[in-house]
Amino acid sequence: MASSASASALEFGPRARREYILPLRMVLGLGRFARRKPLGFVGLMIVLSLIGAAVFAEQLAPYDPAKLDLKHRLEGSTSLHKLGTDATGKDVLSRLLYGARISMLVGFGAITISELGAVSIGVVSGYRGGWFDKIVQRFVDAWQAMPGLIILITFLGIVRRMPNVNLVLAMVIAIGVLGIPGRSRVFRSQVLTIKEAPYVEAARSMGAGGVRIVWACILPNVLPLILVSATVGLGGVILAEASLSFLGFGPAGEPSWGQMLSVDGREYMRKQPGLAVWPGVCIALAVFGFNIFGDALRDVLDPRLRNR
Amino acid sequence: MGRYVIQRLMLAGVTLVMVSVLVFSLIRVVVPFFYADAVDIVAGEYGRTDEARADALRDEYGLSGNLIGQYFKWAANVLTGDLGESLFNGRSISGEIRDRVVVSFELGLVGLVSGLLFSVPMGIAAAVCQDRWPDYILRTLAILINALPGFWLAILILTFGSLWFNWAPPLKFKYLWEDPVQHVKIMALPALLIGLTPSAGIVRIVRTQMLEVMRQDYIRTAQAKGLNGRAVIFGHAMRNSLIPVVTVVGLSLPNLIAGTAIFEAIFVLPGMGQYLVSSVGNLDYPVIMSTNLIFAVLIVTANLLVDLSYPLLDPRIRY
Repeated sequence: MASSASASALEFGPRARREYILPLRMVLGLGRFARRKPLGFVGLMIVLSLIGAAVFAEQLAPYDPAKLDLKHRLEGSTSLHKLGTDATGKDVLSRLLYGARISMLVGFGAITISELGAVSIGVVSGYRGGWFDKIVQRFVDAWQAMPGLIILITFLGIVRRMPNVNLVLAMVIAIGVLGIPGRSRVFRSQVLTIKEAPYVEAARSMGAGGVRIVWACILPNVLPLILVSATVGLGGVILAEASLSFLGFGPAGEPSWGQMLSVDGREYMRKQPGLAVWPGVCIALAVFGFNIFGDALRDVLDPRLRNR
Repeated sequence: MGRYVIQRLMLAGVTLVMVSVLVFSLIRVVVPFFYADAVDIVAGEYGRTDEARADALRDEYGLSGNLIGQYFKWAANVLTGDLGESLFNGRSISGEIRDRVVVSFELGLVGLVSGLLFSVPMGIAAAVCQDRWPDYILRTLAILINALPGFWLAILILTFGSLWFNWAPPLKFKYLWEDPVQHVKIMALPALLIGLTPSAGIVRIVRTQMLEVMRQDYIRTAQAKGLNGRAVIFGHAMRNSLIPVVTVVGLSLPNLIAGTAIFEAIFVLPGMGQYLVSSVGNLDYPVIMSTNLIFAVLIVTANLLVDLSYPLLDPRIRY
C-alpha cells in the first residue's frame, strides 16, 4: 500500500491528484478494506454505530433514561417502549443508548492511558536496553502478574466511599494503568527489531540523537501496532467495565450495560426476560465488533504479518 | 535450569511484595487520609468518639507507630499465617479463608480442565479439517464465545431455565464432603461457564499451532514412513502444538481466578471472590488486605507452575 502511494506521487494527471485529496483517499481506502476484509468491515460498522449511539444518545433516545413511568412497569416491547421497560418503568432502549456512553468513554479513555503508558515504557526500555531494560522488564513481569479485576474491585469499592470522586474517571485510570504492562511488551519487542534496521544505523551515523531516532524512525513504525493493539484491546476493556458495573462497582446513577444485568434485577428478569437479554446483546456486540475489526486491522497494518 | 527456577522464584517474590505494598498503602495510607481508618469505622458503630479508646484500638489493630514499622509487623504476621480478625464479626480471617479458598480453587480448576477438554479437541479437529465446514463452524463458534460475557450467559441460563423449565440450582450451598450430589448440582454450571471464555482463545491457538506443526519436516517424515493419520496427529503433531497453549493458559489465569469472583456473586457461592466483594462493601480493612494477598499468591503460584512446566513439556527449551 505504501509503495502504491509513493509510486503515484511520481505520476502526473488526475490519478496523482486524487491520492492527495484526503477525504477521497479515506473513502477509497475504506472501500478497499471492505472488499478485502468483509468481516472486519462489519466490525467497523458495529463500532461506528456504537460510537454514534454514545455521541448522539440524547437525540436518539426516545425518553430520558432516568424517567420513571410507573403505569408501564416491566412491559415487553410496545409501541411506546420499543424494548420494554424495567421495574420502575424506565425505558430500556433509552438506557441502552446512554449505556453506550459509559462503555465508550471508559473504553477509549482507559485504552488511551494503556497505550500511552505502554508505548513510553516499551520504547524507552527497548531502545535503552542493558541493565535499564532488565530492571524495567522484571518490574513489568510483576505488574502483569497482579490480579487485575481483584485490584479493580478493591480500588473502586473503596474509592466510591470517598466524597467528590468522579467514578468514571477513577475507572478509566484504574483499568488503563492495569492494561499497561502486557501491551508494553509488544512495543518493546518491535523496537528491538527496528533499532537494528539499516536506516536507524544510517540516521545514527549522520549524527541523530536518541530522541530524534525514536521520534523519526521508531515511533512511525510502532504506530500501526498501537492502532491494532488499541482496537483489539477495546473489547477487553469494555468487558472489564461491564463486569465491574455488573458487580456493583461501576459509576452509580448512570445507566450502564453491566449494571442493567446486575444481581438486583434478577427477580424482574423472570417477569420481563428482555431485561436479561438486551444489555448482554449490547456488550457482546461491542466486544465482537472491536475484536473482528481489530483482527482485520492487524492483518492489514501489522508489519510482521504483512508479507504472509 | 537451576538458575531459571531461582529467577522465577525471585520474580514471584517481587510480585507478592509489590501487591502487598500496594494493598497496604491503599488501605493504611490512602484511605485513612481521604476517608477513615479502621478505628473510625469501628468506632462509628458505637456512634461516639473517645480518643483514649480510639488509641487503644489503634494499638490493638497494629495501627500505631510509623508506617514502615506497621508494614513489617503486618508482613511478619501474614508470614506466620496470622491474617488478623474481621472488623465486623471478629472471626479469624485465616479460618474463613481456609474454607473459602477450597470453593474458589475448585471452581477455577474444574473450569480450566473442562475448558481444555473442550477446546483442545476442537482446535485439533478444526486444524485437521482446515477450510472445510467443521473448521468454519468451529472458528465461528470460537469468535462468538470470545465475545459473549460469561456472566451474561449465566444470567440467561438462570432466567430462561426457570422461565421455561422451572429449573434452578439449589440455593443452599453444601461442601463436597457434606452432600456430594447437591454440591455437584450447585458447582457444575458455574465451573463449566468459567472455563468457556478462555477456551475460545485456546481453540484458535491450538488450530494455528496444529497447522504450523503439520507443515514441519518431521511430520512429512512420519507420513512418509507409513504411519497412519491418527498416529501422526496424536503421536507427533499434538504434543508439539500444545506448548503455546500452556502460555495462553498462563496468561488467562488471572482472568480465570477473577472470573470466580463474578460467578460466586451470581451463584451465591461462599468463595474468596464473594468474601472480597462483601468485605469491600462494608470496608472490612483486614479482610480486604488478606483476600487481595491470597489472590495474588494464587495467581503467582499458578504462573510459577506454568513457567516451570515449559522445560518439562518441551525438551528443546533449556535454561
